[in-house]
Amino acid sequence: MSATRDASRELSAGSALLATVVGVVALLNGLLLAAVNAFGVLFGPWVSPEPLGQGMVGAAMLGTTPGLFALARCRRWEEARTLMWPVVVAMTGLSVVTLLNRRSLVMVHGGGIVNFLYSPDWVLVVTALALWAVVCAVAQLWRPRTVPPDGDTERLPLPGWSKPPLAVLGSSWSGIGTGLVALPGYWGDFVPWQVNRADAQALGVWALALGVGVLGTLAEDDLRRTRPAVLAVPGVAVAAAVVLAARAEAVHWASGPALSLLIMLLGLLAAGAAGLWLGRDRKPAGKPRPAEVAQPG
Amino acid sequence: MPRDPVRRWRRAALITVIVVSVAYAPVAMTELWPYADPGAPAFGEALLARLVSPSYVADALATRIGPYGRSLVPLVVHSVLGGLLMLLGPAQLLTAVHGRTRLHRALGVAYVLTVYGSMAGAGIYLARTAPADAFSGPAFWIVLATILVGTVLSVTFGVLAVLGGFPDLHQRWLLLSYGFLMTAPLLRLEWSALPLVLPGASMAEVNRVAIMHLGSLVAFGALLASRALDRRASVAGLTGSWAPWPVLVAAHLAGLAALGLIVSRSAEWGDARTHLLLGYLLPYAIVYAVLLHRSLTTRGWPREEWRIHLTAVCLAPVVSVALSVPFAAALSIDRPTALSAGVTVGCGITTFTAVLVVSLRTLHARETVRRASAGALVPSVVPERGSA
Repeated sequence: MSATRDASRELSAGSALLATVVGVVALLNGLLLAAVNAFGVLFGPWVSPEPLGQGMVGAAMLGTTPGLFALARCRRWEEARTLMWPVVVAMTGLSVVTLLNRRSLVMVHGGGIVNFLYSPDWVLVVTALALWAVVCAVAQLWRPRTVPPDGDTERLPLPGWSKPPLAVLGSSWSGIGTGLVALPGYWGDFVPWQVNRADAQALGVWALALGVGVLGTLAEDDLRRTRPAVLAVPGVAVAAAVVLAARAEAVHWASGPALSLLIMLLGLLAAGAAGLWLGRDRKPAGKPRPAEVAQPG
Repeated sequence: MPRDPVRRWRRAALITVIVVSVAYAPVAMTELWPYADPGAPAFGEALLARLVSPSYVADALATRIGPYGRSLVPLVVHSVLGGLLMLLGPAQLLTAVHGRTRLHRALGVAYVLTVYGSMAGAGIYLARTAPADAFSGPAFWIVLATILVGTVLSVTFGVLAVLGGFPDLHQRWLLLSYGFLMTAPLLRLEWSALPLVLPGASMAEVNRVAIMHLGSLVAFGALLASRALDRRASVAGLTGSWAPWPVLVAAHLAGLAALGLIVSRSAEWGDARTHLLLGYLLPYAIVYAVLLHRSLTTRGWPREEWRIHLTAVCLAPVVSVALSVPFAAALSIDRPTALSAGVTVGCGITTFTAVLVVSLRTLHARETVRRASAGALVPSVVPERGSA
């Protein structure tokens, strides 16, 4: 089952720091957005017809934090990129849709004072993180390829049976995500609660990022390199389920979109759990076991 | 007393902070009780009435009965816990200075929980009070909300820093958080002292002048304390500067333009213009002069931190002017008040950002060293491809 792979790129200190910062931002903002909106009190950078939309954005942020902190500990870019690219998609996407929907921002539209103070902070932080993420990801591609100092080039491919469901899961999330970002007016009706354009596009960005992560895992085809991405998905499913349960009265449960959403969340949970189980006791690439280091060649 | 004049100044500053905090604790804890029970003793108000005049205090308090009455329980929680923080803060400073780690940790947990509890009370009061109903007008509401957010975030970042193993950053964030908390006793001191230079002014007018520099002074105090406690001449892994000359020059030009705009638009403040402008510009000039002097006369890591803070203080007027636009547009505040609200929070926001940049700078340096040493420690064994 194991094979070897080519030389790889070192993960820069800037990229690792970005992951820590995005992790802290996602943890604090995710907790705030998910908790407040789950209680039915609208809180977020833009105005919404229903708190659940921004609560789900918070749930997605909160759920990805274990993966982001794992990303910060990676040594090689190839271990990090399955989550790094979704981070680039999420941050640039959120900053673009925030600017596209600037008229819905509380600081422009008006609204509660707490949200009013939160909305410029959101714009500044998301924009700064988006620029930083793009710079880090592009700079990584310019770094030279080297064989890891420990000479550890073993890989652990995904089992064959997992690939078709992963492809379906990744396509579903990226498909609905693209739809919501590009045509929020049409695809917003497929969200099983009331959303406006800003809600639909922000949720679309997160769905797209999740899809990129799942498809990236499939493309990487190496459980030792995808640990941060695998750690990021089950938390999203759990946090989203908690927020959905707390605002259950706002969801049109007897609808196709609600059923689809539940299946897609269950898929994320299953993919994450299976990935963690299959990768158990396998050290991440770049962190040698003492015995291996002691045996040259 | 230490013979070294610098150490003597530091000792004097520490003792002053402790005395002010401890003396203010009973004032804070009893401040709100008269609103619940009109006969309850309130040391602070009685003292202020003796120092200035009974009508000075009574006129101001008469406007507070309605807004405070609507949020009395959260405000009592806020003020009693705030008083407790005035005791816990010095205890934390002393345990940190004297290296009493276990006691510092135990009291630290109490400090953090008390901050969250006290700020929750303040948050409920602010959420229930319209900006226009705040004491001396909406600018004060915005100042209080900004201090609340700054305190909660700096305490949270301080906790994260210590959990992540960064005692230097923990120190900076906690000092900043305590600086924000010190706005409470400092404001009371200003209510007592400013009538000497503003005879006949009401407490609301004095308050408007005081808040023009309150945020900048406490943030500056926290920076001085942070720098005094950091004895490192250099930080491993730190190369170049994040505030090079082009950035400093651009920040100065932008700051100068924004200051010019503030001065020209200050004509809208009417009769209070001179007092408000002096209240803002004098402390600002002192802070700027100290930062400029320190960034020109120091080397290595201290210079980098002073430079980052110098850039921040230059950009403060820019932030103030920029914030006055949404304050006026979305909060339905008139333009002059929106400008003064922007001015009151500018320095606090940029100093907070500067501490954030200093933290990122330190984290980046440490990450660089960690990665370099991890690579160096692992033997460079290059196996043949396909031999695994």
